[in-house]
Amino acid sequence: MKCAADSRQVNKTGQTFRTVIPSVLTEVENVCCSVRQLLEVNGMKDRAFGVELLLREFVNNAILHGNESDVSKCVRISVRIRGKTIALSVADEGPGFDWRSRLCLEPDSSDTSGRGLMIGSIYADRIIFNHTGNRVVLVIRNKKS
Amino acid sequence: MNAEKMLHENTELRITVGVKLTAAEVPTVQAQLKQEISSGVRNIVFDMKETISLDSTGIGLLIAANNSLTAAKGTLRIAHVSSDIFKLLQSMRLADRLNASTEDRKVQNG
Repeated sequence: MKCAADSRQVNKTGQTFRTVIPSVLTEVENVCCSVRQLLEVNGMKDRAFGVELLLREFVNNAILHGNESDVSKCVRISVRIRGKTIALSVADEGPGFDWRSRLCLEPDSSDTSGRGLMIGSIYADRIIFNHTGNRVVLVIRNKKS
Repeated sequence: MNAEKMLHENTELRITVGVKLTAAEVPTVQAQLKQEISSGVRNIVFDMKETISLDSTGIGLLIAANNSLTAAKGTLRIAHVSSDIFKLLQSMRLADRLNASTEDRKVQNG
């Protein structure tokens, strides 16, 4: 699948953002920028930190682990706003992984990696992987901090 | 453009982190950090007054630096952390371990 770096789309109601990016870490910033704008337009600027953090973690994972940084492989990203709920979807072209065992693991405090899923469990209300583990949907509901 | 500045102040190396400390920036900062620690720096403060984005790769860098400095009987602290980043570190039970503060507080040796 050829990835078009500039394939960002926002739907007519301004509540959905979709894009396809190549597996290059520098692309993540463009996605975050677009999603920040989407949240701002929808009066959700105060939720930007958590949403952006989740996006970075799972898109980074898709690039580095799912697609193994293969620039010919793409990552599909969508962000949907329905009422006060935000749904992030990230899909890569890799073979997937055993997410069932990884979700339960908590890294040791001196571990320098392995915190992406932990961040997901803290900042998202639901994490839904497909069977193979190469697509994830994160649901963030509005709650008072 | 993200930019880190490194400045030696008395016995501490102050690293002013840029707007982001994420997967894209970490390799560059990591290389500079390794050089500094190899040359004998033992006390480092990451000044995050300009930082609004931190991800798990950035956290990993901070932990790696802390591990290296602790092993060499040095210190690491993180100053001027935003409230969002402080809450992130707290929720991961790392705020105390990394001596993170929203101010610029030196580590109390005791």
